[in-house]
Amino acid sequence: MLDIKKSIQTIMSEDLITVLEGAQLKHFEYKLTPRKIHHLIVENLQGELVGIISTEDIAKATSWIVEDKITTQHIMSKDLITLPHTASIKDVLLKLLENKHRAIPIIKNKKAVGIVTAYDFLYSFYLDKIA
Amino acid sequence: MKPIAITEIMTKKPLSVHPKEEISFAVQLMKQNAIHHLPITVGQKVVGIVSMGDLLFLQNCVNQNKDMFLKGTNFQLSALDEIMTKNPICLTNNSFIQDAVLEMQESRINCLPIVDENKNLVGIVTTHDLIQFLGNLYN
Repeated sequence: MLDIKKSIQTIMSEDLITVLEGAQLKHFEYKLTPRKIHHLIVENLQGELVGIISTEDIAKATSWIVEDKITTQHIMSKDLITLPHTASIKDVLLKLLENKHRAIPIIKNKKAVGIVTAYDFLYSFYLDKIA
Repeated sequence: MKPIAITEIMTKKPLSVHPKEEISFAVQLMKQNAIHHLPITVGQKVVGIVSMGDLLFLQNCVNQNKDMFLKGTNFQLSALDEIMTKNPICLTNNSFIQDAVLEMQESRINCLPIVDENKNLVGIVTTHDLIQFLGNLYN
């Protein structure tokens, strides 16, 4: 059974793609295609996390908005639930139980160092033959 | 751990609506019943799915960016088939929880309609259901 006292760093994804706050979609969309990445981290000029964008949100937005005009501000989620890099797997479980949020950025000094999604979280239990 | 049937944790007989219903109707239905996913069905066959997250996201886009919208201001009156995820991945009711976790992770989805051998909708499972299952397991 997976030890939920372990650090979140043992299961979080550290393969992050970041974009600068205010960037236009046409200038960062290419970053998504070569890799199996489903969330973009939006940072300010100081490198601090200000929002996340899921690829699903981009797909939805581009079917309704004139694509040329879309910037990070139009499509990013700002009401984020985050956890510090010192959090445990149990902390993530509790956050996911409390909230309907499906992606939790992991932060250190206000900067994103990882991300945990609900399905990746469940998958780590599956790999441990628990789920 | 031995496999656990998906029917043990799925929400049975979930609410569903026709693809020609208006978006505003789906939002009202989900709010009234405190649900976040709504299968779209014709008869009992699943043809699509929408989530409250999808609808709120699009609604916010419409509100904030009216001048940018291709399809104008009648978002609430648009039919669900314009915005639903079409032909969603479903699991059959003889699947296990492990199958759901694997499918959600591989397909990056948070909700799976469950269908019977005739492909009729009989249930729904979300990542939240699975997280709750884990929560109970560790309590």
